Amino acid sequence: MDNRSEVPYGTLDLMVLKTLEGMGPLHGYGIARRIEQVAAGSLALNQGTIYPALLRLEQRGWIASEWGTSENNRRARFYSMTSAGRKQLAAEAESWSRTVAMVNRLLEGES
Amino acid sequence: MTALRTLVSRLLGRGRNETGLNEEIAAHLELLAAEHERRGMTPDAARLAARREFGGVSQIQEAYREQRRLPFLDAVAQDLAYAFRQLRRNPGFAAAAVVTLALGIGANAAIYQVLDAVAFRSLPVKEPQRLLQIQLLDNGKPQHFSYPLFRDMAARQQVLEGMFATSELALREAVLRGRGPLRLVSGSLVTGGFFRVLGVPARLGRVLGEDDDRPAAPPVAVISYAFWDREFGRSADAIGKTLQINQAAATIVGVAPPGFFGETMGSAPDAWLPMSLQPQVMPMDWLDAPYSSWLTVLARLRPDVAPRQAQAALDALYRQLAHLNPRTEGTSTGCNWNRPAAASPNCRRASRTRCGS
Repeated sequence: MDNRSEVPYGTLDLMVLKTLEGMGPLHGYGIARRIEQVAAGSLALNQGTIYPALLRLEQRGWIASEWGTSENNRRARFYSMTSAGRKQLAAEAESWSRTVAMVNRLLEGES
Repeated sequence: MTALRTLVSRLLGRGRNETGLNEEIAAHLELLAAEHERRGMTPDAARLAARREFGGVSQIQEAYREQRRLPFLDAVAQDLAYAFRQLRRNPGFAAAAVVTLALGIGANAAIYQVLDAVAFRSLPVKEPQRLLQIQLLDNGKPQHFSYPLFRDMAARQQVLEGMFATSELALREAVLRGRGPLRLVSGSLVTGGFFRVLGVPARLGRVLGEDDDRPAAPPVAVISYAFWDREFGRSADAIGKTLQINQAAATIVGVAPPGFFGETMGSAPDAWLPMSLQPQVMPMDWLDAPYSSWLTVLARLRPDVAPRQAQAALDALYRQLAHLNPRTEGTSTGCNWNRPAAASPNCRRASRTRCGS
């Protein structure tokens, strides 16, 4: 049985921001690998979905990107966090915790 | 602010073309396939597995196109309307936003006694009670150091016996070549003072020193006792052997003592490499990158300096250095520090005390 869960709606952005905050500039592959590493097999992530997310984050000014060279010597785009991104991450992390706490309370109350 | 920023970024046409995306996808698939090959798949199987994990390429392209194009006009109009509404509703808005920004990028240095001293007490390091972690706080949030900031601070500080930087990022994906099948090893990049500041001697051979951490220095490595045991059956022949780690070929010059796992509880590197090898073992050169914050910095306090004095001195030094690094420029608004371990022997982690600046 596959115990891995889909990426909950809206959380990929948060995971990407958190990854960039912790790791510094990374290319898309590195970000996807890092998220999988942290999830330790509990997440079914189609790695490609990270690219529309990266574009969205960049359009909002939360991350910036520049071309660099990957480990295998190819051109690769490296993403890094902006200071607006840092603020956004703090706000989103807080709202995430609130949501989780609220749902937990609700679920515990139901049982 | 975000609304304005989005608007500006849209108007500047910071959207991207599809060629760029395709290039990114190709690089991604190659890296993913290479990883599978390293783990023993045939090239064909590795390519297939990479495709599978990546997901449908055409769906990704479509989603990307949509993200790029569809919201454009609509979004610009909305952003504009929103920005004007904000300005009209609150004439102080623009001014306030600027002030917030200035404070937002303000950061200050703080030092922490390394109070996860459980880790240190059980490690063969010298006088763990004088080891500190130096932390940057950006509005109270801990930040990593960039290499240039570490270098400048280490060169100018006068309250520490020495300081060193390591990367938590480590080389989790480092590939060891030339010793049987290719495989992953964990390496840790450390600056030249690492072993001296911790006070850790070599079990065999020698430890890394400042001379190893220079751009032109011959690449060397110190291996862990466990790695020595596993790879070389604890033979003295290990000294002088070469480790091919990513792009670097490092000669083994020493073995760390048994029970020394590095500075971080829970991570046990197979090898320590001098920081000067960073550009060869990681995809980007971060040694000249003031905007890449990725280092953890530890230090040993001078015996005649109290933690509070060191705190004040480093804070002042940090502010002097800030003008060299536009990102960290700003006002220092406070500092956090942990009380020394000795003062609270029963606490594994002493409480953080806030002190004025």
